Amino acid sequence: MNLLRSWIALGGALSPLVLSLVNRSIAALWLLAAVLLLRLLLRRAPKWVLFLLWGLLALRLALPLHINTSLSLLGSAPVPVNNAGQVEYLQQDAAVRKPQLVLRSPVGQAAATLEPVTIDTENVVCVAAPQALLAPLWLLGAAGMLLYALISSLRLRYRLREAIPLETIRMSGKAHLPDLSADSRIFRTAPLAPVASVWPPEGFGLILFGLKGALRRRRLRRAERPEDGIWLSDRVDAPFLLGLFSPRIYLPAGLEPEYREPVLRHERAHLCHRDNWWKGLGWLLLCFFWFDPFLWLAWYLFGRDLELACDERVIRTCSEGERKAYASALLSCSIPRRAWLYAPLAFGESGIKTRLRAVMRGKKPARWLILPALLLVIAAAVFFATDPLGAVNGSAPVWEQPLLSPELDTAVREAVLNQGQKLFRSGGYPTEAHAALDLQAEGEDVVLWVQYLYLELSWDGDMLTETGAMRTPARLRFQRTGEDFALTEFWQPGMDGDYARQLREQLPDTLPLSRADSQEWVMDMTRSCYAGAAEHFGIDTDALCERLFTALETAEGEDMREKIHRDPLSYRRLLYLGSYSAHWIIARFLEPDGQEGLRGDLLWRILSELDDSLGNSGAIRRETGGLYNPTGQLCFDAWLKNEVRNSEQAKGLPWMEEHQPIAAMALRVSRGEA
Amino acid sequence: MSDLTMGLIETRFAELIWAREPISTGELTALAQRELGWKRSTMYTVLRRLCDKGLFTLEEGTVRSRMSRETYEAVKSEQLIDSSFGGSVPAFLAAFTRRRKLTEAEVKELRALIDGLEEGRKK
Repeated sequence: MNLLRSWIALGGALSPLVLSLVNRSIAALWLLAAVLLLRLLLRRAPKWVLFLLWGLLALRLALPLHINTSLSLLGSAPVPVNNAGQVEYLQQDAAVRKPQLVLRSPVGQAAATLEPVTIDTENVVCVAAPQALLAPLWLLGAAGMLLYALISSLRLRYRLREAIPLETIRMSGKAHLPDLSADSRIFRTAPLAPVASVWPPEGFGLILFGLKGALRRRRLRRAERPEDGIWLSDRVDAPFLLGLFSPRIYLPAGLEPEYREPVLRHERAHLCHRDNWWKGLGWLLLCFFWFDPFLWLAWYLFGRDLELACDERVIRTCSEGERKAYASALLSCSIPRRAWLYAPLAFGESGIKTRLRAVMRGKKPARWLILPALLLVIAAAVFFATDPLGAVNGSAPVWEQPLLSPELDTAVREAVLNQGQKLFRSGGYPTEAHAALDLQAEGEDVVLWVQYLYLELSWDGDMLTETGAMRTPARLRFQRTGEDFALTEFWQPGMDGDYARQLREQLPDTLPLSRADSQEWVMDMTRSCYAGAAEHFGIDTDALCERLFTALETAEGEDMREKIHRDPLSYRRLLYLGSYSAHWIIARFLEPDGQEGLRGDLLWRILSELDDSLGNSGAIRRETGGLYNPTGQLCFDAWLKNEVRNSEQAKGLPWMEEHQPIAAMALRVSRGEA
Repeated sequence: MSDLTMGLIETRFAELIWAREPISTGELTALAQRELGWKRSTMYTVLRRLCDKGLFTLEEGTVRSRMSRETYEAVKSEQLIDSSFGGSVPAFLAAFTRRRKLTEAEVKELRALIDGLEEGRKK
């Protein structure tokens, strides 16, 4: 059970990232389609133009940057755009944000509770969205790919230990062996494991582990000055370029000497273009987007384009005879087709037919195509690489919380209380609080979306306990006659796992799911409910706060954090009692003897949670003499003396009552007023 | 006997041993380092591989060859002709000469060789 919990927790944490990646990869599909099309159209153009497109695709995927224009062709299908400007093909499931522990109320209806208490497990249902379950899989995939890169890099390096510099061969003249090299396959090298010739993974592995080695080799090279970093090895079948910082060219030892020259020119072209880096970065991108099959296709085609570009560069300065030699070398070095998956910048890999044809044709790339090609690239960028604007009215919707008239507010209150009492019959006192989300008028009717909290609280003279809770968005429909509102419909999503889907179906365009399900009002609503109950039962809130605080203070544990951990219930209840707690705490701090040690710290901690404008601000730090860990009492005194008084002078008490209620309360209490 | 084919680099290493055998491992390490730029562990790996093929032995820190250079060449050619030409020398020659014409001198040499072999058979 614990494993599942941690998995879901991990999934919950990863889910926004994975979602963003998935959405980005879907959005990038448009650009990819454009790139594929343009590749075909611009076959005759110089190859570097294509790499502008590839770079564009890479940036689109890698950067969480969104340029929203009306020109974007992504907008041709109606899709939601979130606040960051990203198109949300897949939206985050409501339950992912906080997989809530759900408590079955006495009536047998599942309800959302705010108290993370330890309850007997048969009453607990863990509500977690599929997204939270799948998200860790992404992490496994990405980690797997990185691991693969590392391992294959190590294996390749091990295999290449026996390589020797080309210079050694050249210097010592011809080998004494009979030259049966009419067919290079006679020189059978040790069979390569399927993961041999793995390059960008290897090059990537170099980033992670080989940096030291690479630097050492660089120093070595400079010292000994062997040729250009060209090495021979028995253990490889095809020539390739390896390494990021001091790349080496590896040739198979059995390569016919007459093929060496064309091969080297090709590999040097790769070196010139820094293809080892581009491919490495591409692999890194692929690690993040491994789930996207289209991207693997793009990867394959990207590799082919790299090779074609090198061919083009070499051919440019070749005579016909040299071209023939190059083509023969290409043919003789062609390696099995499977190698495209992980082939390094090998000489004879993918798309051999295309390359041979291009080489033999020997046509120079069409210069006149450059300008139209660039225009097409820019067009692709504008139409396919930008994000569309929001759905309604061509502009991203800005959400504003609607204001309810007192009559409407009361009507909502009644409706919610009725609804709640239909579902709960716990015997507690029913309270409710709500936050308006969206208000639309439809002729005579008013359609209102709210998020409400229905809370039933019971009081046994000693403690206030929640006996039933429900928090959910809901849609209310009222028929309006003058200033009166009559409820005609009350809809809310079911709590049986279909929650998110139902909500999404019913929500209007102007109200995004993230807003409807937001947690931002939870605390306020809860406090409002508790305040209502406190009034109803006529509770002596000071005494209640005292009891709760004492329970917390005397809980097991050495420090504040442990105590809160041991008795989370008391802690939360103090927070829910909002201004009552604040009042009581302030009174404690203003007592003549003050509050010492842990008690003071705990009191300050709770007070600062009640009002987050508190905290270790600069003024407080100055006053407490720059102590690393000032006591609660010191903090309070500093806060009262500086911030609160300053605020009063600057803004006045009425303003503070509105915007800084806790501070205003502190002022009043300190002056002996209520 | 296992496949005796050696790559170009392995061959150079073998040549080093054949030229100086018997040779101590210490010397061989230094030699490999100088000529090929290999580390000790690399040298040992390749040496072990060649020993497994039956070409050399390593006893008490000394490397000796188990077959001479010429024997090696002969066995290798045998293996080549067996695997690629079904053991038929004429087939091999036919293939060989399809691209490279034999010179006068080579024809003479061949004739002499065949005559010698025939004499050997008659006896």
